[in-house]
Amino acid sequence: MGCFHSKTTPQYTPGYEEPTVLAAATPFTVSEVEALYELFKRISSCIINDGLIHKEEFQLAIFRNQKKKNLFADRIFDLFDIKRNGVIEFGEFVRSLGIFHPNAPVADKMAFAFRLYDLRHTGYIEREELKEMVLALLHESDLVLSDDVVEIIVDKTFSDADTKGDGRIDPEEWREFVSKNPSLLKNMTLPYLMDITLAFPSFIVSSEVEDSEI
Amino acid sequence: MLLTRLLDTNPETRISIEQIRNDPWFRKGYKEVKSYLDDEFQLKTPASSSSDDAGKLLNAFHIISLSSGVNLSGLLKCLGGKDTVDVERFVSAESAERIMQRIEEVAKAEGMRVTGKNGAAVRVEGQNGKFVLVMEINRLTEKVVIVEVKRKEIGAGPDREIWKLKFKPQLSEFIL
Repeated sequence: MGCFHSKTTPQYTPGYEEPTVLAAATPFTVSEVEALYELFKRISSCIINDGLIHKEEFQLAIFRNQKKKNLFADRIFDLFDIKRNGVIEFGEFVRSLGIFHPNAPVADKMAFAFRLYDLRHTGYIEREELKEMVLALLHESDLVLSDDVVEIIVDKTFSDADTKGDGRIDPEEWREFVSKNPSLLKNMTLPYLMDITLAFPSFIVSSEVEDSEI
Repeated sequence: MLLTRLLDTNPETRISIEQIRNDPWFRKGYKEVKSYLDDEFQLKTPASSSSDDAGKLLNAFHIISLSSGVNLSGLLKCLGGKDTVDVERFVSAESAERIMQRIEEVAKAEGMRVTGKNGAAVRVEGQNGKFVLVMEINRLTEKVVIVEVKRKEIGAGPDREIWKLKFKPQLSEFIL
C-alpha cells in the first residue's frame, strides 16, 4: 500500500464522528472504530487527500483499480453514502460497515441487501433488475451462460421468492425468502470485522492509534 | 536454547517456525492470532436438508453474492493481508463428481494431498502447506454447475503457477 500519508497532527474532516459515539451506535468497540479510522484514512487519501472517500477511491480499495466499473460496487457506494452527497464520510463509513459486522441484527442485513438489489429504488426488486444483476456477475467473472440458462435461473428464483405472484419482490417477500435461505445473507457479513484489531495486527502496528489518547 | 537455535547460521539446522511455536518460552502468554484466511479455506459442512436452504440449486441471489463488489473482499487486501487469495470461477456441463475426481487425480500426480472432502467441495494441500486449494461446486440448473476455486500461494515464485500450469489445463475440457 503506497498511498498512506502520515500526518503528525490528526486533522478531522467533515463527517468525522467521535469513536465513542460510533461505537455506541454500531457493533464495533471503540478501539475497533479507531482501527477503522486508520483504514478510512488510508482509503480516503489515495487519490484526493481530503479525508473523504470518493467513488474512484472506493473502487481502488475494492478492486485495486480506480477505473473498474462495477454495478454492485456502485450500489454499495450509494448505500454507504447515507447523506447522498457523493462522498463517503467517516461516520457513514463506520455505520454502514457496522451492518456487515457478525453481531449486527439480521433485520438490518436483510434491509440493506434489499436496498442493494433494488437497483432503481422503486421499493421492489423487479425481474429485470434481477436479470441485470445476474448478467453483471457473469460478466464480472468472465462466465458465459446462454440466455436460456440465465432465464431458467432467474425464473426459478423469482417464482420461489415472489410468493404473491405480482411480478416483483417486496420487502416482506424478501424477508420470508431470506429466512428460508439464510445463506443468501452470507455476503452481508464480514467475519474479520469482529476483533479486527486481532486479525490484522500488522495493520494496527503501522497505524498511529497508539499516539492518540490512551 | 531458543535464541541459539534462532541464530543458527546454517539454514538446514536452524529452528523452524513450527518448532518455535512449540517452544515453551515462546508459548508463555502466547495468544494465537487466527489468520483471517483460515476461514476462507475451511470446507463448509454440507447443508443439512432440514434446517438449511431448501432445494439444492443455487438461485440468482446466490450467484450475485459472489461478486467481489458485493462482498467487499477487496477490503481484506486493504487491511494489509500479504498472503493472496485468488478466486476463479467457471461453469460446466460436467458432473460435480467427475470434476472433483479430476482435481484429485491431478493432486495425486503432483504429490499433493487431499486434506478434506465433503459433498461437492474438496481441499488440496501441497508444498508443505504453501499451496492450498479449495474447490466448491454448486448446481445452477439441471445441466449446469458453477465451480469456484480458491487458492492460496504463500511466497511468490514458481508455486504461483501450479494452478495455471498443472490443474487448469486438466480441467479445460469441462469448462463451458
